[in-house]
Amino acid sequence: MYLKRDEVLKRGKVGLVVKGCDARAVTGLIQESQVARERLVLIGMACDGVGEPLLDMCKHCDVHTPAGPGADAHRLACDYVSGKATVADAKPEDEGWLDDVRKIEALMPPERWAFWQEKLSRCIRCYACRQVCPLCYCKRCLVEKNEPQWISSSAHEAGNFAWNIIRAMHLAGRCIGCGACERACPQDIPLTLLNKKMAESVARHFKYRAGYDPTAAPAVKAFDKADENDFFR
Amino acid sequence: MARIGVFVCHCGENIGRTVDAAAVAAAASKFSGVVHAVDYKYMCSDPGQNLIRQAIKEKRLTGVVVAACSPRMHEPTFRRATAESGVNPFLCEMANVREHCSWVHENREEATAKAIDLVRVIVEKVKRNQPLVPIKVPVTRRALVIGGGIAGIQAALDIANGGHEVILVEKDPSIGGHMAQLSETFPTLDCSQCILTPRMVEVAQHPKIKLYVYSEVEEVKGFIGNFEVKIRRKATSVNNALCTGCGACQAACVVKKVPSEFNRGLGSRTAIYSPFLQAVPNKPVIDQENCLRYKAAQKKGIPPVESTVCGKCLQACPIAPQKAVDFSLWQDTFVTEKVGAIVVATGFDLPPLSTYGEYGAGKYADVIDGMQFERLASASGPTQGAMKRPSDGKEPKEVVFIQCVGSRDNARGCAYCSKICCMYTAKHTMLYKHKVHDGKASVFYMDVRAAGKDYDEFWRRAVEEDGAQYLRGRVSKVYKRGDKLIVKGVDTLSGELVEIKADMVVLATAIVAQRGAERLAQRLSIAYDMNKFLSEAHPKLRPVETNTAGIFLAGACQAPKDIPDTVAQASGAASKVQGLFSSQELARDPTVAHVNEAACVACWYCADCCPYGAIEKKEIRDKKGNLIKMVASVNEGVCQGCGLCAATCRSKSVELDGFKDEQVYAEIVAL
Amino acid sequence: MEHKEQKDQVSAQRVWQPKVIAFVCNWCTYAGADLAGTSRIKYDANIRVIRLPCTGRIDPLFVIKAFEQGADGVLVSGCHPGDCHYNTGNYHARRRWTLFRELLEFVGIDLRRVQFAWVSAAEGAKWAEVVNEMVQHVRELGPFEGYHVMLARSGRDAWLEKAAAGGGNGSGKGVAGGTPAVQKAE
Repeated sequence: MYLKRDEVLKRGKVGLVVKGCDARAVTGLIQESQVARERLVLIGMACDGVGEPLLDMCKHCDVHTPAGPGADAHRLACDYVSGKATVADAKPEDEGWLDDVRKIEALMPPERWAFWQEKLSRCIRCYACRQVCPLCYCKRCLVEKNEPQWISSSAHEAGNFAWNIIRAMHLAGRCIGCGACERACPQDIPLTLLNKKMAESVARHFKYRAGYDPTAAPAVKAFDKADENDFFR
Repeated sequence: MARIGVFVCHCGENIGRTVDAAAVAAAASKFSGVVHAVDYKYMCSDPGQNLIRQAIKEKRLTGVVVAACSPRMHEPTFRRATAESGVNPFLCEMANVREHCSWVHENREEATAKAIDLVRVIVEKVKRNQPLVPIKVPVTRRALVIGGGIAGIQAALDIANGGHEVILVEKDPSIGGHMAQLSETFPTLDCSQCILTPRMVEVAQHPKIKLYVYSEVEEVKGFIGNFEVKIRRKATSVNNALCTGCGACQAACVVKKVPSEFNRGLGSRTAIYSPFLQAVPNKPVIDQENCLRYKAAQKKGIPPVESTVCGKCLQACPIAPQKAVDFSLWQDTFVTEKVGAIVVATGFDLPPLSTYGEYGAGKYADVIDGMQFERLASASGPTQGAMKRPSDGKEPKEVVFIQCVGSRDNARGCAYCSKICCMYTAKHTMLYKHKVHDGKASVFYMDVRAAGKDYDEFWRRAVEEDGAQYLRGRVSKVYKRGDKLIVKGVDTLSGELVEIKADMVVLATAIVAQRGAERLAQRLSIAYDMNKFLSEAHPKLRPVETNTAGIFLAGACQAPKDIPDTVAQASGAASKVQGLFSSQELARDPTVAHVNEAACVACWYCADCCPYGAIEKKEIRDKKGNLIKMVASVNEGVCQGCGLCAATCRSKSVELDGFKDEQVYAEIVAL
Repeated sequence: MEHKEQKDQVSAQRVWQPKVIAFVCNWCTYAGADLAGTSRIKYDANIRVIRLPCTGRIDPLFVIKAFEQGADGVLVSGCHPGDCHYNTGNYHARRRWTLFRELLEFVGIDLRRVQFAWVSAAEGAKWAEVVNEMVQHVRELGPFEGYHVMLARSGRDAWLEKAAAGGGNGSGKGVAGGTPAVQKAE
């Protein structure tokens, strides 16, 4: 998110060292015109995963080695790539990354409601999740807008609920699943669950996964006449 | 500080019966910001409107809420009244307590409570409304008329005679439409072609009318005053600049058995053809599906110009040195025309005969529909007007006419009355009796609907003077015995079962919407009803307008109609167009979007979603001309005010005038 | 705000009535509801319609806000696919709602409380059906206790009392902590 800062951009080309997952974030920013590819020198680093124990997202990573020069147009090609990952990429059919989402989905609606009421009630509205998110780049976040103030800025339950729902909605089809929000959350709210759920919905309905193809139209600003229509009366 | 006036209408009994208007006014008077609240019998009447005008002056109102009918009905009325007293019309809004409340709820207490809520919502909205000034846009004073039947012809001539250019698009090779197919017309029995063809010629010769036949509207962009229309000109394979319409090519064509659409299958035509003798323009087209050379070329995958198959028409063409028949004109072309208004006059269609199998239609050659009868009776028809039945050419001595075939029949999907069949069936019996004096005409009917000038007299003449036998009842079955068609039915007036040994059966089949009406409506962004007929803006008061400004309806594309009604509506549509063209500029609804440039981060979600491409990428530069940043910027002339951008923008940096977040928020919070 | 007190008294006396807020587009559903009126088709009175130009204008925020106002159900309705007055507004809206409803379901909201419909200008009868069905569902589900309790814990004490008393209708005030914009503009 530093990439967007004026003081950085003013200096001309920016060299950026990226892991595969970072490259997905950069892809998202390019798709949304937040940064021009020409202004970046991307140095890709192969990565076997980080964290002790290994982060959940790394277990299901399918971009251990960033794409390098000569990659097809539907991948963000780094200018240089260093090394090669020793672990295999997750397969597209690997649904392991959704295990925790499925667990919640298996609950009865009142249990899900209770689960989220408890989790979200802890929110102190520090907005660390937003600050750390590579795709939350708005100059003025919705919660900072008044007249009208759609989302109460107080850290009460109704406000927290609205904030977290809308945050997930705003990241739907955009979140690249880095998990930074959840790691930054001082209250241990399982934020990635919401994001993953949205990523799963987007993939299922619109056959789209965020942060892979810099030339693709993000799912929520595209449409297909044949999109699912069954839930409409 | 808002000073809102609330005016609650009784609409006679329409609202007053279920909603306690006085109680609504009393409740509204206590809403904060409301300084004046009254109820009145008829707010839309002049005294009613005066209440608004006076209150604005006396109570120094800053906003007006009228709780009455749907804003789709009277919003312009009350906004005008508001503007007349010096308050911006956009500070006036309506609470819909009739269509959305008094007419749909029965419990007075509930309806009144709901009406109070609806008024509160609108009061909160109006408090946040801002004065808006209509956007001036230039008007392209040219009209597009889609459909070259009598409706389109009339509309085109009226507009052109008013001094404006008209583009007339017709899908068939000739204008004339269904009316050109008719024999004689009710209630005067004058020859249809005799009254129509002079009009067709007038269209062709009119200096202000540009005619595109064998063409279809492919795409429509823009908005009232400024439409851009892409027209597909289907390939004719004939160079119209050279063709004289001599007909030599048609005589030479070896493909002679294509069922003639114009004769509704009762005759045949050639592959290169002009649909009828008086066709306008009188230039043939090659029907690619039936032409031998086209078929051969397609099989080989080569352009027809490279094929040597047949070519009889080409050889027969007397034009030299360059032939008028030209196989290099084998691909559709496209033209784009800019127009300010559109008249849709695409007419109706008839279902295929086989739809009505219970009457033997599609199975027995002598079971025909009304249009086929018209062709049989027409002097230009396959029998030159002689009454001969299709199967063996014998003169039918006993003809049974069956009305309401498909119409007024929910099970068939046409719950509506097709309107013209009672009259044309009466006409058919007369035409038949005039040709076959000793013949017998029997009509099965549900009831005779003959409302219209000289109409009732007309059908009575059929019965009283020409001896048509009218049997009130339905036909259960038509089957063949020998060379007779046995019609089994019931005469409900005598209660007897009837069996008639007929020589021919004529079905008055339902008038249905033009095929593709739905698709055209979608291209034009206009509404259509459950029967796919195009929808007028208001069933009574705006019968020729659509819900899309600048697009008007004429003729049977809106509903089944006879010729007089069609012509009247076409002239109505033409006068609407001329009204629109009476000034160079037009005031457009100012509900357009605006971008908060300070907050915009140029993610272009709004721009990419916008159905109109109204959002542009704007550069913000400092005094020295250095680019500071890019932001989204709305082109007011193009924006149509859907608000998709506003909802899409994550940082809420785009607002739609008239439906700003603040307004919607206040509405929700008021509930 | 006197009317508010009056209203509160009334609602406390009445048995609970579902509160359903509908967001509809101007061109199809609003006109369809008009047609229901002109056709005098009767339907449940517990629906309050907010008119917007297009389903594309309807923001998920509106739905959240409606619940914050004590709605027991929210209905979103517009033109059938292909019929949008603005050509493609409803297609974009459809994607938005496809995701939003799954998100709401994921956090435990019964989707019978958030319904979507395409109602054309010709479908007056369908509008009545959709409303009746929606209100009926909400009646079966009862007041949106979960949200009401959450609101109450967020400082809207009145909610708890009302929920207990069986009254569900909201007052004209914003959520505590949120800016009560209604009053602010005065």
